[in-house]
Amino acid sequence: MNTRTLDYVIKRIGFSFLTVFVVLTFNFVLFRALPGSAVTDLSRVPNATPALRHALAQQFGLAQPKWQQYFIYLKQLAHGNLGVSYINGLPVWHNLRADLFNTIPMVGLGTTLAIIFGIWSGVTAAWRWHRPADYLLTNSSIAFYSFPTQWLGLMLVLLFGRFLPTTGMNNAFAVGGSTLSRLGDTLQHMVLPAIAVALTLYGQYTLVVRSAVLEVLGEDYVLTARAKGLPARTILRRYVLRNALLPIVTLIALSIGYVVGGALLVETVFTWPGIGLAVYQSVLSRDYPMLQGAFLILTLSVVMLNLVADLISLKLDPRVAE
Amino acid sequence: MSELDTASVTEEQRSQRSGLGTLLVKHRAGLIGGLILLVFVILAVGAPLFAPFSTTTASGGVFAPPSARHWLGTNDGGIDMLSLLIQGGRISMLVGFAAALVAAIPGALVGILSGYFGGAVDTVLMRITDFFLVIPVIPVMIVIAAVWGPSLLHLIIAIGVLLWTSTARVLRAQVKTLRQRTFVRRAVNLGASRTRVMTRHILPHVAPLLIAQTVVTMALAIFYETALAFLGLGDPTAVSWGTIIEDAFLRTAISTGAWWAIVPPGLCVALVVISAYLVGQSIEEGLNPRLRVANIAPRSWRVRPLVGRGTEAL
Amino acid sequence: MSEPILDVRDLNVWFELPSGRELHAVKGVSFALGAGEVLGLVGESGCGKTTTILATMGLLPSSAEVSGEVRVDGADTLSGGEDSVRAHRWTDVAMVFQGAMNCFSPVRTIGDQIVEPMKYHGLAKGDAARQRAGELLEMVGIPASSAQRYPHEFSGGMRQRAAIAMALACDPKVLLADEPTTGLDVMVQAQILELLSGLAQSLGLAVVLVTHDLPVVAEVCSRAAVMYAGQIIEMGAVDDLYHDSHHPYTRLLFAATPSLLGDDVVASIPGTPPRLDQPLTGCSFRERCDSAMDVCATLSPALITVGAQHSAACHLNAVTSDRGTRVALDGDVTPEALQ
Repeated sequence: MNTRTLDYVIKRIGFSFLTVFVVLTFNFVLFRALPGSAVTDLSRVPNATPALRHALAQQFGLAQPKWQQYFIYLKQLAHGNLGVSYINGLPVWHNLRADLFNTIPMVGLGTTLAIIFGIWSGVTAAWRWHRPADYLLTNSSIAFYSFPTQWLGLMLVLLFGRFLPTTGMNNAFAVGGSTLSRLGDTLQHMVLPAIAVALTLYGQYTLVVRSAVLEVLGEDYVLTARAKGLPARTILRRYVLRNALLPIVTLIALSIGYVVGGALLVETVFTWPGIGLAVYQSVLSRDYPMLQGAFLILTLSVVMLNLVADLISLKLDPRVAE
Repeated sequence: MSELDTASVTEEQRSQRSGLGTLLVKHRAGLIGGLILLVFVILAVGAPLFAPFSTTTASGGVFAPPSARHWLGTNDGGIDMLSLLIQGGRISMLVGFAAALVAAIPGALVGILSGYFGGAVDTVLMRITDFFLVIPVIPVMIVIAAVWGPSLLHLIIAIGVLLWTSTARVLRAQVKTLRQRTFVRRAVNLGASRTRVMTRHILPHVAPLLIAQTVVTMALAIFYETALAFLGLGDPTAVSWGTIIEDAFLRTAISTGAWWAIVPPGLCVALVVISAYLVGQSIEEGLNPRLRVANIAPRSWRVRPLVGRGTEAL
Repeated sequence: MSEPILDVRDLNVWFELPSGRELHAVKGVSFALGAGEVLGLVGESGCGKTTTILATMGLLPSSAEVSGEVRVDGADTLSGGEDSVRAHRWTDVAMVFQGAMNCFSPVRTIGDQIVEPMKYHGLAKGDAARQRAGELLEMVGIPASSAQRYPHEFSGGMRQRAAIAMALACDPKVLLADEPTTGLDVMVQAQILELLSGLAQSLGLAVVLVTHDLPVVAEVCSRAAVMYAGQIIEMGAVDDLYHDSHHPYTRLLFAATPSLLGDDVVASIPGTPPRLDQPLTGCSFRERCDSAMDVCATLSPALITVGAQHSAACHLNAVTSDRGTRVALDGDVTPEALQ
């Protein structure tokens, strides 16, 4: 790796750390430092027994000045201590860990579907530019992009609720059964929410890919490739797609925040026990430590994923480091 | 008129002559979008006039399907859906519009300052923009609204504070090119103060773009308002498209099969978003038409057979 | 001239515009060159010179329609459409684009892109191909080791040379160079031109050099064709065009080039070229011509031989010339009409 590339990598990692730091601080300020703060204003803790209040006061060091609280907060985070849920008294991280592992496969499936179909549609639309196929794909993408996510989920429930399960991750009444059958059951439950996630993202991805490919189609090196006598399929693969990949990856990376938001809404509609649902439920029950913890995890994941996307773009295009 | 003004007036006039009106006319899609938006705005403003029934008292059966009397049926409280929809449009569009205005301020400021000054100012502002871009929008909005307390104002600010980034970027790009234009350089050379150049010369030229972006931001804001209301973070007493969907969800409209309680509000949001997108695209395309060439395409060029040209030997 | 390597006859290109109208960009262009010759194709921007050479290789967009003949070493390449012309690309006819353009894909190494056509056309593969790529780079004055670098690591001049090396990868008979020096600085321009003319001589390449820069033509080309509004209005030896031009446009064009040494007033040709999406009667240059006659408004002049290897399309010649050999554009001109 030459020095310029190394430079770039260091800068990007540095920026991510800075972002993480700002997010942590923002988290602290919002939940603890503002007046009437949700976490430390103990009168707002539902069902707070004196013992709980005392424990909380100790834990958060509420007697101490704000900046000291800040350091306690950072120290706790370093130990993976995200606080304790108001509702079930268990550590926040304990609750969220399971949720996180539920969210990842479902959202992963949905996002992968969206990327695959989005790339296919985008390339097709760009290739058949200004022809019927293009108009069809582009307009339907704009439509999908415009429907509210939760509404898309509800529509899926309305239309397919008869054929596929629409709540939860498993059939609560299925007792026993082999691991395989339970896995199959989970997958069945995953179908509709994953499709909801996919539909939300598909429109945006199609438009992004189409735009990137159109841009590349107008480049001189495509004409040169054609002049070399190469067949169209080779040119599409080696020159068009390959060069469109960078802007596509960049724009998909930018949409990660949108993915997270979409996942949240989808999990709420389908009662999928993931981190999005955890956020929703903690909002409803005013379980602020949970909310704070979930928010932190979500935002950190987005920052990390963005960093990964940045490093991938570096591999895709040697010019990025300049 | 000062010397400054007369010197640059001819070139500016020439480039400003193609105003918003002419631009929209050239683009059918934008025109249709604009019309649809206009209809929604009219309905929103005159909601009490247009709503056929009351939105607070029952006028029909519970979850009654669409009929001649209730075009879109009723919800679980027997309230007419169409009236709810029209009334809901009011709050939704109001929040959308207000949030878009809130977002327009940092968007325009960052965009113009960044594009005009370049250099260190640009780098810093762009880093800040990058940071805001990385942040996942919905979780942050949720957190702000949850911690601050449910109210329309909080919602507007929470949304507005996060949606300014694309406006900033688009404006920055245009300001950078504008800065090189003759009339701007002339104004600078004639000794105009920076503020003056930015307000009197650059601002009028980015105004159409700013408007296009604000329209799109408004649509996005409505989109996000729907999401937040769905999660119970809006004003519980206000009726908006988001709360209509929320109600439908919470009050088992699905299991009852009452699609009329769910489908219309989503369609309304989608229509507004699509229309705003079309209008925004149209304006932007009109301002900076992109000359796209395809160096390779599925269909190939054709050979024209030579029509007989008399005694011409081939 | 012995059997020409590149023989273009009566080439026409029409473009279908989004408005539905048709743009006649190239009107009946004909020229021929033999091995080792460098032909200049000159004219202001928009005159159709780029379209002409793109059409020679069939590199036109889907909105184009073509008629006429293009023969490379005797073989008819154009009339079979894209598929038939594709077989001749790079192996028979290769192209070098403008200096400022990026004909290299930014994500692959230069070496890879030079090797690619060799592999595809079956001329060489593996180490042999890489070896040859290195040799080609050396031939154009670039160290062979830079084959592993990416395009953005090259300077503009080096990139252009690499583009020439790439164009020679499959040993073509014809090289089409579209403004190869535009966008490059003067010193580099001279080097590129020297390279091109040297290659023409040593490899026996037939080169068509498209340019709007007349000193370039004087430097490198033996013959040149002047294009205006899609037509060749004069063609002949460069000396003849400079000192014995038979068309007002040629004369004005060469007069418009400011001399570095003298302090001539820079003459420019007032007006703009005609629109090519509307039918034109008479001579296309009439509006801007300083010697236009009545007949110029109604009759389009044909390309007539006015000297050895020298032809021009102007009514002024038909009046004064006593030879009547015609290379017809449209067969409507009769001797009587010109009297």
